Amino acid sequence: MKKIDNILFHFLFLLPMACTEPFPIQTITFENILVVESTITDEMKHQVVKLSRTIPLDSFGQEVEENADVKVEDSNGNTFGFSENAATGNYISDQEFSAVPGVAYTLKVRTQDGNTYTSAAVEVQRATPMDRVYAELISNNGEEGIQVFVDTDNTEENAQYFRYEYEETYKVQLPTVAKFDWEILNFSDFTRAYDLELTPIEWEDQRVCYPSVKSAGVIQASAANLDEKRIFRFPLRFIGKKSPIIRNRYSILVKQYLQSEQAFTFYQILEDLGNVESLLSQGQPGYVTGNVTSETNSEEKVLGFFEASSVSSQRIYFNYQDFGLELPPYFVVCEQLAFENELPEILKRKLELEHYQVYFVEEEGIMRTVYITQSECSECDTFSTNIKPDFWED
Amino acid sequence: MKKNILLFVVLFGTVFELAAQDGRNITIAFENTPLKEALLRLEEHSGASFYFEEAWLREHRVTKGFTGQDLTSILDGLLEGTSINYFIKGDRIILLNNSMVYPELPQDYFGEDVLKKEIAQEEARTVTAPVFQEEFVSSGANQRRSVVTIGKQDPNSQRRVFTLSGRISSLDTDEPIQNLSISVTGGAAFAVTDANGYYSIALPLGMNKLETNLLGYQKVYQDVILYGDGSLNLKITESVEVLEEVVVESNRDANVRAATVGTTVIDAESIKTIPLVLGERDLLKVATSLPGIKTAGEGSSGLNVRGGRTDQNLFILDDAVIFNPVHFLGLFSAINPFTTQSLQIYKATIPPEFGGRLSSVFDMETKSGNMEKLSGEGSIGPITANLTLEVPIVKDKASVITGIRATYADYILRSLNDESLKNSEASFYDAIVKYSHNLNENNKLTGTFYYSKDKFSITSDSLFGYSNRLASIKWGHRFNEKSGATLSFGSSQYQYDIQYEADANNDFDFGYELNENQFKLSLDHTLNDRHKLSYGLGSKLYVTDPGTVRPLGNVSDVQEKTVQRERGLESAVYVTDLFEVNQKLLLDLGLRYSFYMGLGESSQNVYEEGVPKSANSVIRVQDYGNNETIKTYGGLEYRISGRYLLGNDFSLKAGFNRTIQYLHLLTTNTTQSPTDIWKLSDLNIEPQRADQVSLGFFKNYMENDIELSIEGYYKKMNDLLDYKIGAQLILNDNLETELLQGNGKAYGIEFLAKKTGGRLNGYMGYTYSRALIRLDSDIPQEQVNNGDFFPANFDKPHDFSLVGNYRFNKRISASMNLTYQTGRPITYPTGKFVFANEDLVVYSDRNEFRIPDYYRLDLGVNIEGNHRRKKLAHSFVNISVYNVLGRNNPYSVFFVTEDGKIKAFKTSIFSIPVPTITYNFKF
Repeated sequence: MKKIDNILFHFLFLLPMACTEPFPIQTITFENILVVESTITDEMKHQVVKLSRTIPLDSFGQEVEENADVKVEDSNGNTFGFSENAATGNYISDQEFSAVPGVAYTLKVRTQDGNTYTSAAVEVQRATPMDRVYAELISNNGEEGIQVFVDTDNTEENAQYFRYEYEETYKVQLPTVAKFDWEILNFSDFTRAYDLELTPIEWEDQRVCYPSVKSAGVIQASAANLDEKRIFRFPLRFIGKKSPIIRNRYSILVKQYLQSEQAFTFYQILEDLGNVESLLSQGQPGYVTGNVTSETNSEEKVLGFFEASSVSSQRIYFNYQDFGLELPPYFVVCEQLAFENELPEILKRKLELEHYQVYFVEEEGIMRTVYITQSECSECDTFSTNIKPDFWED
Repeated sequence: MKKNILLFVVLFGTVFELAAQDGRNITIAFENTPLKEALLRLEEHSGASFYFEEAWLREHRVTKGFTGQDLTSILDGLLEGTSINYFIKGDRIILLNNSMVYPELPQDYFGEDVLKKEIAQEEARTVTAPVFQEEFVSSGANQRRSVVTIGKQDPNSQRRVFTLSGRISSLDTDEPIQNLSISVTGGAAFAVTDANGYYSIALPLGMNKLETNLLGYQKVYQDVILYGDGSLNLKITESVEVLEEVVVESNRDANVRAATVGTTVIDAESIKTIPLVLGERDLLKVATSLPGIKTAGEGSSGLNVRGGRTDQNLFILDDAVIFNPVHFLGLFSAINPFTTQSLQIYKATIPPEFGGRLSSVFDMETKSGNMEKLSGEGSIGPITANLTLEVPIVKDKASVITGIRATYADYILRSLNDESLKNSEASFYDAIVKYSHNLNENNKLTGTFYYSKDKFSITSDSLFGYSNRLASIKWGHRFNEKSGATLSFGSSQYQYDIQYEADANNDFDFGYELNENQFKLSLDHTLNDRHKLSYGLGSKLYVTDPGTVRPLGNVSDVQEKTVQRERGLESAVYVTDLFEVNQKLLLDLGLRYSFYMGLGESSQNVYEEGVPKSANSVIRVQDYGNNETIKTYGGLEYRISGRYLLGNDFSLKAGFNRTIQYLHLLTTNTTQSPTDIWKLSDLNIEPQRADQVSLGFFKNYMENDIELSIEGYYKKMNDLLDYKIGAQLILNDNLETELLQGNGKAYGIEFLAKKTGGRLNGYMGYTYSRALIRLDSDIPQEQVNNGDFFPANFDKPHDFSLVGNYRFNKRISASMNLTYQTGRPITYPTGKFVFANEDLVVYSDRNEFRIPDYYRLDLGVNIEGNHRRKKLAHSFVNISVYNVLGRNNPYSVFFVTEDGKIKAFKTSIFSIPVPTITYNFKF
């Protein structure tokens, strides 16, 4: 019934005098806390444990916890060792394994500063597969677009809490293709003159890109307060009809994790604290206790949850034409500039600082015209890949 | 008048000899003879001349015979049983009503011993009982009334103190006037009229200058010469002056003289010039400008009194409880300012007739309607319109007052350009009707009905509404002048409802309801001059339905769910003695015994000790049948206070107050909201308890025109209810698993200076106070901030307010309101981390930081229409600007993760100056 809280209290916007304004975040004090995020699933695969540290509010990125000793023990006496993956900073299990119902799993971590942490023992619940993922054209608060829904016809009595992740992959047809590598030579600080050397790129079919974007944030649904313990028309992802991601073919892979009540509550509180929406009555924020504790110092704060979950996934594809929509615009307005012979300073700035690419060169005798455009309009590498994914169905 | 001749003589120092008596004996007999005739006959017989005022002798008849007695004995006999004394000067006999003329002047009257002869007994008396009346009836101000003499002077009486009692009523309506204070100017005695207008005051022998005092009524100076116990009824008129004054005051002298500590009266009429937001005259908002009463911020519905939580205040409207007396989620109070007579706030010593809340009592009383003629009052402001009518039903006997207030905010919303707001709806209204009937002089019946409703639709798919409803009936009876009784019944309801309709399978209708029914019998009895007893008993039955959710529409498959009903019975007996130990020391000794029973039908979880309460630690479920007692709680509540006079207008007061609360408000928010749930004590939830000690000094200057007070307090609270982070309180069958009970402590010092009279009046208050909470447990999950004390959400150490009003002339006055407060504590992020592919923040210990300080200046101008008598209606225009400085006071600070990144926002409610014009009229 979280909805009950959320429905209220937007009302203060009604008063023209009320105002909500952003302000720059400053760190008043900083607490360095270990963050544990791990869901082992019933899929036979290399399981993943993510360890990181909190960082000051005004800094960026993520500080990965390195050189930790990570393992998962099960109630049958098996131990699964994890090793750090240099590329992602995640800890990956040395062998493939899957969480089995009826077996309890415990996460053990020893950090490089010698502190040890342990999780509560968790079990995986029996799988409840997703019934259907489907998309419909709807109007959402006055905006038309495509809504991706999830239905889960539940058969298991205890399965009531679900968490979702999705990964969107879509085809992008580049308006132009970058065909030359460029190099600026002989730049004179005095005259501001320079030479532009262009080398044709050896390229394959670079005209089509396949970006993939993972969902961000905690997406959850609960059937706990429903008569039939099923998820029906759960609105997972809304895409406005003018969104460029559906300009070409679009695909979404939806993963549904079955959660325990404790895990559900933990994720939910984290998400709620990240979205304190009401103005008049602010929810009380604070430190959220997960199921990982420090063995070294019981008062030490640890953020995180180790869960075992059964997962089911489903992928759907659609095109904007399927819903009778007009062609959505491209991501950016592609600017195509031509420079005849002269090499003004603006060209140098566009190339060096604004990452423009040369997509065409016209040469007539000594006359040379250089055509440039933004890299987003001419190159996959800047935002995705030109490699067609294995699963892709056209 | 003969008396005046005499006094002239006396004043000019004629020295009298002792009465010349020639020893002539007279024989005379009277048979039902009028006294006047008897005296005339005696005059004939004795040859002496009698001087008297005929009026004194009327209605006196004598049947007596005297045989050979001297004149003195005969006069003694004749005047026995009357209030007349006599004085013999040669052959002139001067009769005096009440007073006794002393045959000699007090010693040292002329600065030297002119008269050597002493009569010790009489001299002693002259010290206390002044001889010369006229001397005191000086400067006949128009409110002064002529001297009243009560009782007959008796030179042989040893009594020095007499009781004066009576009834005070309104000259216009004959309605009894409550809370009027009667005090001796420059003296020690003090009394307050009860609900039926009765008072009783102990006064010293002789001349007493009395004055009455109640805001809204003309001050009456009444000189009384007292020679015995007697009664004095007064009729007083409403004051017209009060229109122009901003006075929020304790009962004038009461601030020095009453025994209770921490008491404030706000008169509804007097606050009309205080500039307030959007022109809504608001008793509760004015209360927050007084020391010790705070809110968490603009737009927060609850009040925090002396470090208490928002659920610890008992709001009583005409003897019934009002649970959520606010509109617009706290921006305005739901108390109609036009129908309300006064608001009495007890924040330290709570009279033992009240109970059930820890921190304070807000006792609001509705006016009785005008019993003579139809009258009314109304106002038109930018947000609401308000109309009050007073209708006599039986002239001088019965009347009805009714007040209705409604908003037209919907219209404003629709006129806004914002697309998302056009379809929203926000409205409220409240209505009150009170019937008063004076059955006879000793019996009075009143009944009140009140209803308030708020409705919002913010997003197109949700509708939220809440309402308060109450009804009460009260019968007041006087057995005699010394004792009386009041019997009242009250019924209150608070409910809210949320509908969510988005054409999905989770559409629902959620409802919450709380009902309270109570009766109270209170009696008072004046035992003697020194003891005034009040005692009584009462009982309240609480029934709450903590939540019901139903599917809404055909698609919805929301499971219908009802959290089990809770019932509880709270009963109490109390007694209090207002004990005047001596002229300086006045004690108010109160004791209340309250007793609570949690009642079935119910199922209660029994939890394993020493582990966190959760679904896993339930040992068994205990079932209780209908009306079966689940658990009882109770205890003695001490309500003791005292006053010691350090001078005529300087006193020291102290009090000890214990309270127990069985009904708790649960909220997951940092401030109170209308969706909070009231929860009864049960098997797992202990009642909250508090002890408070307070001490204060009170001093008045310049004929009570300036009042200064300084009060300090220390309060300890046990078993305050709090909750775990992220607690789910709505529709939770096992609420206790989400709750924590902890201790609180609060202390502070409050300073208040008031100027009540003159062109410039107002008050200034400053408070330094702290409110701290500790949530400790052996179980780490049930600790907050490692079990240490931390500041409560409303802990604002420095609080300053200045309210002033300056009257330029009879029609124009200006007022201002200045407030400064320390920013309230918040929990601030101390770092961020990536989880579930997005940035999230980690928070500091609870309430470790504060938002910036709060300050605000409001200004207002009040213009009265002309005061011609024959005008149809009197009008009054108030122009005010709220937050003149445009200070952007942050109300809350929060952090939102948007697109995987953290953004910080601060909200302020009235960030720009808000001008308002309100038109008021009265007929």
